[in-house]
Amino acid sequence: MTCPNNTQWVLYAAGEAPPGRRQAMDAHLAACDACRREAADLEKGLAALGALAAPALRPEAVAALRSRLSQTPRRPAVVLFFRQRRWAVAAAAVFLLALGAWAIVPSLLQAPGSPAVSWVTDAHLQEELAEIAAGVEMLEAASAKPTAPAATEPAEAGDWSMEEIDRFIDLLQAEMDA
Amino acid sequence: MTPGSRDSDSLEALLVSFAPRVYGLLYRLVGRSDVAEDLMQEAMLRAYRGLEMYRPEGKFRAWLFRIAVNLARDWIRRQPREPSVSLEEGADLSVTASLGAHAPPDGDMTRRERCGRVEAALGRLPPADREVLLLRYYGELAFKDIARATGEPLGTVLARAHRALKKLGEMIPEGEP
Repeated sequence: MTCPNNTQWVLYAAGEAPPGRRQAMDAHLAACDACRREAADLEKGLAALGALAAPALRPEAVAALRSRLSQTPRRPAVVLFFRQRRWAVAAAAVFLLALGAWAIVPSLLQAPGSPAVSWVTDAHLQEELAEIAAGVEMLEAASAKPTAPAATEPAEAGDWSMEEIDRFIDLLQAEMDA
Repeated sequence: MTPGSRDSDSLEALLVSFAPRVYGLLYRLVGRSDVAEDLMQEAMLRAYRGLEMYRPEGKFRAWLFRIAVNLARDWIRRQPREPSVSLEEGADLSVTASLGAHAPPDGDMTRRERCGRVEAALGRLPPADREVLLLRYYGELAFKDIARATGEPLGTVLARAHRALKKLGEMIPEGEP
């Protein structure tokens, strides 16, 4: 057996060498003065370390620790749930992204003139446009009406209040932005 | 109980049971009892709050000591260079001798002296080498767990241990008090 290296001797001296390896090293030690000195040096170092005394921790510090721990909130269960499964969540996100890309990329890559491949059909698009056009018409009709204080002229069924119009404009704007 | 059971009371008890060893390690690393106490509390609170970060495949102890080591490293990094916390080779032993305040108080002078000498010798080791030996002693960690705690490869940890143990053996000859 060739001489074990330094790190193997550390594991040997610390009692962490696997049993088979340890036996081989024991046998080697019997025949190798240099390795015997090496192992003895390391054992001396470990023995010196064993002379170290643990500094005493003040009882007040332990009491303070207990008190701080008892006042410390743990993370809510839902956070724990997601943190523990963060890889699964990440994998699900990647899957969804890939699914999205699968749906979108072919339509971007299609040759000009070829039939459109999309989840949004023409009929769907026309429906959307008709809805927007109807909204614009209603908005125009509402703004053409003579304005009067809402308190003196209660809104009839089908009439839009200013708030409703504002909300509708917001929605319309959001749709157009999208 | 296992650390993963998340029973707050049991976790609290578990952490408190580790407090003296974590404090011991921190005290040897930073050289100040007040700082070591603060860092120990911080390490425990972080472990308590962040238990979900603990992976059951590793030792809970290694994970806890890693938190403590990182806190000590951060603290040391923030300090202006002082001999008591940057105990590089050749540091003034009179400074590190102050660590002897925690030698055994039992009146056994031989044991006390030997403990003081070991403390002083540890103070002369490069910080990263000292860290490995202290994790071995206070954490009672196997070298593979020390590698986890320090974030270094096992080969590096073993090389540090080899160098540090040899030096310690030379500085504290056997049979001397």
